[in-house]
Amino acid sequence: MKKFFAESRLIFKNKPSSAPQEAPSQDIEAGKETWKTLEELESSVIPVVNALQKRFDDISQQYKVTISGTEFEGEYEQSYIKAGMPQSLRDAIKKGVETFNTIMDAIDQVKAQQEAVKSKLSQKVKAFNEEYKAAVTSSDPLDDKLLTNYGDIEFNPNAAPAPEPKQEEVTPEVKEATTDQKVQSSIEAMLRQEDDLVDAEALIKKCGGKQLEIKKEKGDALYTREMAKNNLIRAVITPSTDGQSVRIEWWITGKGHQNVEGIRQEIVFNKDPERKDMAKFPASSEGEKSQENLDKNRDQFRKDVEWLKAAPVGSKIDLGNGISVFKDPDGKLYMKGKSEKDQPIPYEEEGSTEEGVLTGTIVLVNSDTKPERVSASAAESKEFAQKKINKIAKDLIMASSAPQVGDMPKIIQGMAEDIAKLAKANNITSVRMEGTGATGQKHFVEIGDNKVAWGPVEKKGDDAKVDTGVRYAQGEVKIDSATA
Amino acid sequence: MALADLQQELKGLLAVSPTFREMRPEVRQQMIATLMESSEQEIRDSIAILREEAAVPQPDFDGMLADLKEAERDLSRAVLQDQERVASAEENPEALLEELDEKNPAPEEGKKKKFLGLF
Repeated sequence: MKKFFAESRLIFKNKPSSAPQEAPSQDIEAGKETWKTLEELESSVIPVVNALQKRFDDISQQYKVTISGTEFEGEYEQSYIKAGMPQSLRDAIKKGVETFNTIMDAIDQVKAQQEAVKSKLSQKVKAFNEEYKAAVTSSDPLDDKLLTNYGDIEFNPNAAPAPEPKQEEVTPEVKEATTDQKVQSSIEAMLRQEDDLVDAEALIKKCGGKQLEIKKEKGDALYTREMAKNNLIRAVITPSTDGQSVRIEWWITGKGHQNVEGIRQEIVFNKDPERKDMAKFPASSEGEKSQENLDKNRDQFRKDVEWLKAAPVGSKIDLGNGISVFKDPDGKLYMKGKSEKDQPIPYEEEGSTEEGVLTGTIVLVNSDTKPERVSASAAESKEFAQKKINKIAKDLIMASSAPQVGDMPKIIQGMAEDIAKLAKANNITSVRMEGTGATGQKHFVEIGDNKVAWGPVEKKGDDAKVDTGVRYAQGEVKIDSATA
Repeated sequence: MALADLQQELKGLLAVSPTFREMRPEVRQQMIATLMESSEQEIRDSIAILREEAAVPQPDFDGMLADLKEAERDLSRAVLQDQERVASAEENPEALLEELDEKNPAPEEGKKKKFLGLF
């Protein structure tokens, strides 16, 4: 009776691997609603077939006959009759064989359909070569059978190698701000370029291959102006394949920080063979060269900054990638990013902030940066100053045409004084600017007769107030008294 | 239809394809990756094949399985009844013979021959 399964067409000898299935996608889950896999059928059919087989074994012993699980009529049926098996039992055996064959026929049909699909699709998978076949063959005989079962797929050894499975973009995992002291102090030392304080080992072990976000609070030793703006710095820590060095690429990032966007620095630290866990800054010859360039570029930049302070308004130090430090008409230096929309932020030398932290040069200049001085001509300088004055005048017009409540008069006064300072610093003596105010009425800002005046264009202030009830501001400040 | 749309449709069909669902995960993944990388025309062809497959309904396996279970129950019942019958026959052989005679009456002609033989 044990030959029941052997002689049957039971497909489960080729059952799919019992290897853990991948997490099904939603689509696959949806498909399961309508189609049973052979494996699912197996789990339902096999217990019933086992029960049938047990009954067949019992009958076989009772009547001393061989019972086929797949055939009934003819030779087998005659042997049952000869053995004296009652009709009711023979009928039950017949029904068992028939129903079993019915389900097996259906499974065969499904298999045939699947074979046809595979055969057709095999034309499309030419790259599915022997190499891959060998790679997926396991020691599990069931798996081998499965693979053979699916062997109609065209395995063409001469075909182009199977394409590598699509690799995800090598985007390092982003790790939130670390609290690891060794990592933090190493990053800090890296920013400060302090020898012997970068723990390469800690960086490799704790954050190798990860993007590290370090968030610092104001007043912290690692606080910088940039970090104050968006409160984070980001670094990618990449260990070398031999684990003996670590490359750190770092930059300041975050919303509203376009001014320094794209400014990246890169440094390689080698593990110190003597101290094992600490690294010189940086120790390799390449690193030394890089460091040499870095020092040179930063020294040059510091000289450039001194030059800029004395240069005409509108002059700048071009740092490449659209990033520059320029002299504003107010006489101060600002950093600016590549986009016109970027709001300039004040430039400060390192060590010049209240906290005595890193700013300016270290943030802006790396070993590849070639600072370039761009001096503004007298005309450019004047135009630059005029643009700035225009911008303030526009704001002044809007403010002076709005309801004069709260601190508004004081704010307007401040704007006018700013214009006066710019006019004085840039020797602008006569300009009239007009614009539409908040009420749609025209307003003006005028530089002339050593003063900055503002108010509505067409009507004298008092008349306009009476006629329309519109509240507005008008006034003037002296230029002579303005100090930049 | 854009290539991206075709790839999306192919992906959807592959996800529900009974053929692909039978494959081991790594085999399936590899084949899907290969098909997705193929040319636009090949993707269209593959979509047609898979649509054809999707259009064929699966046999009524649930019904068949129910029939198989019923057959197994019938067989169990028949075996038990037969065992009872045999046990009963061992206790009362004449009753068994009568039962057999009722179920398989001997042909009249045969009976006559038998009697004729006796006499």
